[in-house]
Amino acid sequence: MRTHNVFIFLVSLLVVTTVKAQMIVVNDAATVVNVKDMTNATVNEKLSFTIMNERGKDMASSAIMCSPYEKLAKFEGTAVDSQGKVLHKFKKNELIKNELTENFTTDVFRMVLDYTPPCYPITITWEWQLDMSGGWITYPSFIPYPYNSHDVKVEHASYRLTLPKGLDCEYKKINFDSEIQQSTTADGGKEYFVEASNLEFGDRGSYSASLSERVPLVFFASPTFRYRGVDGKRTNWKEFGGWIYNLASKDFKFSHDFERQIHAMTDTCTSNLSKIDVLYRYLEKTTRYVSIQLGIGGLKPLPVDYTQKTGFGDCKGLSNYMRAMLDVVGIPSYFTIISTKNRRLTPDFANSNQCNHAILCVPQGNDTIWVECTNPSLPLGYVHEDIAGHDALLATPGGGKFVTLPQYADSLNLQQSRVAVNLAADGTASMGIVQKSFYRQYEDKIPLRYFEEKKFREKLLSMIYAPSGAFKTSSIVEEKNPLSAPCMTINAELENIHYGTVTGNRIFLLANPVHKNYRAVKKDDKRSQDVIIRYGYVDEEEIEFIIPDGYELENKPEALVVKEPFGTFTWAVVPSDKTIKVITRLDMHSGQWPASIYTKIQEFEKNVEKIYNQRLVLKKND
Amino acid sequence: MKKIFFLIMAMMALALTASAQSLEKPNLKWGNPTQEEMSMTSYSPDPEAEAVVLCKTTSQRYDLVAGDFKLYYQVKCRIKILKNEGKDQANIAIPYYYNGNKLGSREEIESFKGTSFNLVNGKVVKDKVSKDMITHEDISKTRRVMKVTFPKVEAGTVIEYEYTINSDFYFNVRDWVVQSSIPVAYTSYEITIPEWFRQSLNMTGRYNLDVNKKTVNMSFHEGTQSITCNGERYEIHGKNLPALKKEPFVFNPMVYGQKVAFEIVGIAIPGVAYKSFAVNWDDIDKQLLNDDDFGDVMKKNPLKKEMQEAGIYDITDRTEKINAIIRLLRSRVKWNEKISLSGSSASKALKEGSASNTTLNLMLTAMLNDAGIEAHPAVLCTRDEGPFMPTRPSMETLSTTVVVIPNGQNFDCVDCSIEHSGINVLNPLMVVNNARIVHPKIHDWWIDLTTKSIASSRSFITASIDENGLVTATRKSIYQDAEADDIRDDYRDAKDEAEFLQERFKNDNIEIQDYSIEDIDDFTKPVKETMSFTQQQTCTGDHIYVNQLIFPLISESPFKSETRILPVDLPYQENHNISIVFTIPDGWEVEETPKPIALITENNGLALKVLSQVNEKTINVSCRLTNNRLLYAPEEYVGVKMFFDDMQKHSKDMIVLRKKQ
Repeated sequence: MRTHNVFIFLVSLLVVTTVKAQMIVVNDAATVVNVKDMTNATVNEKLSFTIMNERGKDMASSAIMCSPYEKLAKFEGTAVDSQGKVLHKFKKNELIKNELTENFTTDVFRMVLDYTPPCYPITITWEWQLDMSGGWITYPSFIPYPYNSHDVKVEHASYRLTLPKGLDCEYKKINFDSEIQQSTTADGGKEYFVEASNLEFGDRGSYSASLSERVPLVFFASPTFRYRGVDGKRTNWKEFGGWIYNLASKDFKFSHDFERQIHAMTDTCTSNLSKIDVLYRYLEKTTRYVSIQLGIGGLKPLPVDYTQKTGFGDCKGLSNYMRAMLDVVGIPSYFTIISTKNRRLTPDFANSNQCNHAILCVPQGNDTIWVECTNPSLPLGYVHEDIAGHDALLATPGGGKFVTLPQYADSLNLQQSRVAVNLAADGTASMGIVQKSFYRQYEDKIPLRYFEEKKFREKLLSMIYAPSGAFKTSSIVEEKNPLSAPCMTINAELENIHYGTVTGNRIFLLANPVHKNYRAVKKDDKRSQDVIIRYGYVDEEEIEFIIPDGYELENKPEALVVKEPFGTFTWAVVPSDKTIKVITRLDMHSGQWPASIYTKIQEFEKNVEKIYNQRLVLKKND
Repeated sequence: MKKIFFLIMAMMALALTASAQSLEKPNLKWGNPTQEEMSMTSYSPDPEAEAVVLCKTTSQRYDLVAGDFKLYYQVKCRIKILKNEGKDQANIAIPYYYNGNKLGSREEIESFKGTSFNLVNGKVVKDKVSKDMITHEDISKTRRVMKVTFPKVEAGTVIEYEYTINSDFYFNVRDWVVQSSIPVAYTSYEITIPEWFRQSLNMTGRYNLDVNKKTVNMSFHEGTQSITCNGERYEIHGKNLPALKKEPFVFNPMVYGQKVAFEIVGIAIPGVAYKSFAVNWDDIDKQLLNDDDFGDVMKKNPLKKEMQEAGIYDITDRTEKINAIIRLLRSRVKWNEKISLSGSSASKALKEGSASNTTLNLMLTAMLNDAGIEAHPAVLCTRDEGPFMPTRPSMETLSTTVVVIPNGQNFDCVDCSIEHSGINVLNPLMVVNNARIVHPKIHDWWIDLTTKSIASSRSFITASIDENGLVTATRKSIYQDAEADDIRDDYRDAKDEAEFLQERFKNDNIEIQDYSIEDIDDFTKPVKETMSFTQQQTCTGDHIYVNQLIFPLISESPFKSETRILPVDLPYQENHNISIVFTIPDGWEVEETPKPIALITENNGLALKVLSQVNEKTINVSCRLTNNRLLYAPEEYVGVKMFFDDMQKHSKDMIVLRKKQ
């Protein structure tokens, strides 16, 4: 379950294509980068692909990201049917400029092509040229599989980078083994050539690495760069982090008035932690997230006094604003860049391509407080799902520092439910439920906290089995104190629930109303990917049924304990005179296992699903 | 005509999403929020509201500039932010029409002013929107949006803004959309329409607005000259309008929102020939029939040669002939995923190989007529637009077409946005009560499409239960029309049959042994499905408990809320029949069966009947589920909810078998 928005701040200069569809074969994709000098280059792309069937039709429409520094100089192409007949000739003027984004402001825009293939299969070839004039941190990368879908096959992709004499290049291969061919051009420059063939990524499958972590990539970069007029070095993360530090430390001064205001808010605080908390609450109260992609290609945070004056900013602006406030009260902190998508960055190859988010790191003695400034409604220091366990770069005065964020222990991600079901002989019931969720499970519940009552109740009814139940009360309470266990407590009382099904003298009851949406992962006989459970958790329930007079449990399900390397499940039904208690506990463990364990996980979960859906049968005594 | 037609279409796309205003006495003074407005912490008619429009005034004014009319659309608005979640209400977007520097067909936003007001230590502090907080973005070649991000916004902030859109489209008065996603305390609207512009007023929504109309004198100045005329002045006020929120089974909540629209009927400027716009439906018919991109498209069969080659003219069976024509057209032109009212030329469609539904519908009409099958386009307002009122003739309220093929006293219909089904399957958005047939001679020919696109199915299950509670069964099903179309879509969307089955039976707890599905690609036939499967039922040794329906009708009711504000829009009429024959194991007998079920909503809407009958060795269960209506008023919600709740409950009714002593 996803709860956080991903706040993206870097811009890819390549074609952005999302494919919902299946069956696309990329016959050839060729990228030719001709670098003229430190800041000017032309990028020629040729993409030829066949859409095999209707499901791939979205691929025939595309968008090219442009900006004042990345101009589309040329675009043409053809659409050809399987008989070789040309059905359409693409022209540059068919592309429509679309600046509309979720962003408040950006200098990036899309050139959009909208085309509906008249038949399948159809082969589409596009050729286009982007003229780059504002420099770069890394040269355009070799991304032979730039698709957000498993249903594409890339038969061949190639990349050629030509550098003039005097410009250097180093490269980094990710998920890629082939050699990079190097040669010298006639005028003494360097040339790099790389190709890839037959890339296919099967099905995603549950519990597996994401596509973005599996696709091959090659980054190319020069040790020094000039990006949007700012010189920098990036031979290592230390240097690159220093460059980021410098960007983030320009325009870092508040007015005296505001500095006084910060002191007035914090001077009475007795500890650094409470100062940080006061300022974080102030951030929550007075700012809002607005995406802004301006300033050094979206890398430089806006001036902190601008953020203060306007009360809005993007992840960089808000993080740096918080850093500046902490700076006023003498608490050092580091502007930190991170990826919300990829857990790993390349420790030996500094670049900005992999990151899309900024947060703040506040070292406090032996502890480190990670501050998510883009969503300050989170508890201070809470390391959320999109960043926990991810690599990050701290921009410190002494340069960049490569770090990995912590991840909460599986056992902390606990959901505890106590349910009492009071059943009548006609099958209707009243129910009281108290559910406490901690850490990751707390995080999953955050959206509920902001729903209006009506929607909150609808949502509860979709989580908990209480058909047609009418609410007597409902509440959701958030406990979030700095650096302590965050907890969400849901309380609800319902009546007139159609809980049991009556047939003659019997009542049939769902034994566990808390997990009606639980589904085992799909069977997969061909699993080849490692099994990765990203985070573990514990679900614990104690459900007490008060049964109507004169009824007793007819089926007596046996207690169950299943122990596997990846999880443990226990279940017990304890009937007594007037009540039946159902006790369940599921522990899932995070970790990585070979593909062969997948079948076991599937069986394990199937078992859990079955137990969660188990029904108790009550029978009237004769 | 054509130009105006397109401009109107373009303007329709610019529906404003802004809003309105007020408290008991609205504060109509701008630039000075009251103490009460500054200090309020919640809005009593909607205590949970994240923000509220306190006061909004909208006015439209005509002026004569350099010999041409202009329309000035002015908005003033004050919003109170009540919660952190409401801060985003201080990001506003104003769409407008912008055609580069083309004179005479553009809009400009003039004099935008915006201010945030905050209480700081008991004093009101103002922060103005500065230039850098305003951006303009291109959406297309002719459409732009102005985005404004207000400064210093927190729970408690009051924001105010005003702007004027200076428009060349004087013949097109922007709709006044009164409600939005936050409640509106007070809102007003005024316009004075010169007598030269004949406008008809169309007001929709569930709330009463206060309307004042009077005749006034108007004068326009052009240099030293001035012109006077009479004008119709409208003043409309609204108070305490609730927020419009999405509820399950509503195509578009805005359809049910309060809206005031003026439609131009004609322009009668002294000295200029009277220009008439659509006045009645006949005019609209005529206008459409004479349009290059409508009437002209259906005049000539674009695929005559191909129809001859395929021998279509010789087909004698009516249905077969229609299907052959649909198949031919589909093989030449694909639907481009656009639903529109206006078409484009057939030759362009054939060249590009794709076209909008209406272009295809008009081509299909031409082909059918040429083949001797009478066919006409019918125009309608889709269910996510509107509301549509046949008593208010208006081109603007129409959004697309279907093809109507009269069949004796009855008729069939086809729409080309449905790609994998044939006759009498429509997109749920087009299943409307009132569609108008565009016919050169017959006027006022309205048809009801709601009985045409029906989801129907029939299933027969034979199941034998063994003494361990394992049910071994076969099921044969036939799915027709809209139901078949749904299955065809699911089948196509799935990566393969395994994924299709996984999704299709995910709630049924069955193991499939054998499965086949026929005619998934042949739109002229129903979809036939045959499967054999097992399902483990609970068995305790001396008792077996069997779900009498095997496949629950629904796993969950879609209606969870106890209350409802908007009507319920159901996609189709439905008609499903299931019949099951269980064979019980030797040495066992039926101990108990569920009571018969007969559920029905008021006014003959939804109905469910389930009956089980025990014979010596078998149990026969029959189930029939029907829906005869698509729209249920909010007052009927309780009944609809109860129906679905009961259907869910009875989806799990159990038969109890016991071992004979």
